[in-house]
Amino acid sequence: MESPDSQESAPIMNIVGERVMLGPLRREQIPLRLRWANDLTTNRAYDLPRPVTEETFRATYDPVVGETRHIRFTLYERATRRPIGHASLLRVELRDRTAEFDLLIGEADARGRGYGTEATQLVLDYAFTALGLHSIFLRVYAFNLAGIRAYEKAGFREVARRHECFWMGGRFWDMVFMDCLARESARSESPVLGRVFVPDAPRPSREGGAG
Amino acid sequence: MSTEERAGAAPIYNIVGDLVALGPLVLDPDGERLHWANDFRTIRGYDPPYPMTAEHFQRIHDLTIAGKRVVFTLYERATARLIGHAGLQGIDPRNRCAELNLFVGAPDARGKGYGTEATRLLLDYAFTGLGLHSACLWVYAFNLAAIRAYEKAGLCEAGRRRESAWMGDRFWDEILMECLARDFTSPVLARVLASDRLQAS
Repeated sequence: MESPDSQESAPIMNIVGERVMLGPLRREQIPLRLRWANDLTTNRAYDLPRPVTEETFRATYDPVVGETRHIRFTLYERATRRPIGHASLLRVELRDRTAEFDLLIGEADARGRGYGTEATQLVLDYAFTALGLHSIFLRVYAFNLAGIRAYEKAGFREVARRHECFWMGGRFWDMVFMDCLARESARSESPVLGRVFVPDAPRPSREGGAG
Repeated sequence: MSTEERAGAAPIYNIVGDLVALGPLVLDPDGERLHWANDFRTIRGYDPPYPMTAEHFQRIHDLTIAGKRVVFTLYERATARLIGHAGLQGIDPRNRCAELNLFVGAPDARGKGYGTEATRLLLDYAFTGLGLHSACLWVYAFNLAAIRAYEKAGLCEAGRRRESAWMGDRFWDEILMECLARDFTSPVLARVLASDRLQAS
């Protein structure tokens, strides 16, 4: 499927799942992300609904990319290699070994296919296997049923609820907090990175092996 | 150091309770706050412990003043001395919510109900002063005095993030506590922020 405003070179991938993949943010995806940011349905769960200009968006790109406390991935659909959203770990705290998970699927036709569930699993894998974190949490509004279902399938569970703290569609809604611990079952086996972060196996008698 | 020695002036108060009062932020008049900020025991409920320089402290102060938070200095009324600070952060006008933030730094000002009253004054400011709908805070599960004070002031536990903070030799939960405006009765500001009354002439 083509997306009219992406002029992508070959995507760069960090983590490849079965149906989705994660790679670094790329400047050429700004127009695409700008389109997602202006889709009020997509963003009903995020910020104040308002038009986001390209100038504002471009001005925030460099600070966002430069932030080392936040780790952000572009989310790709594997079959088409098109970018469909983003997935992040925000405020990674190394002492507390914790971070906040954040996911957005911007392309409407990429929803309802289990991509959110797998993207969540991949980022949890990254958090626990690659970063050694201990406890990951997320915030989701109570009206976002697809989000909650995907997060539950991926291993999150509801642990707290901040009542009536978000205004949407004429009423206040609760904010649901979900978390997942490294030892918990849904991800006790690393889906991908357990095969990536492995020690070299000693090779008898070969010299100057792989670089 | 007595209040008189501190630039001679009486502290400025915005909100006056029975035991404590809230006033505008002032930068460490006695250098005492820098001591509190370096007392690992005191800050164990707040930040990762690290040595806080005067320069860093000044920078935090400047950022606080410039930022979107509302921070009050917390005073003990009987002595008019500075004992900590109390504020609202993440004030969100559309969603009409904010997070509370309270710090009682002076060790001998604890255990006297000051935290409870300061929390009540902050909630009063949030609901009566700013017209917010809900307020919340996060507190570490080991911080028992704080949890008790918040409960007495009217906040209820709304859940917990499990094992999300390291302190001492283990992970601890962070407890979410909250209060909705409709469950709170204004102790002070309803009398201050009140309509003029027509007077018969």
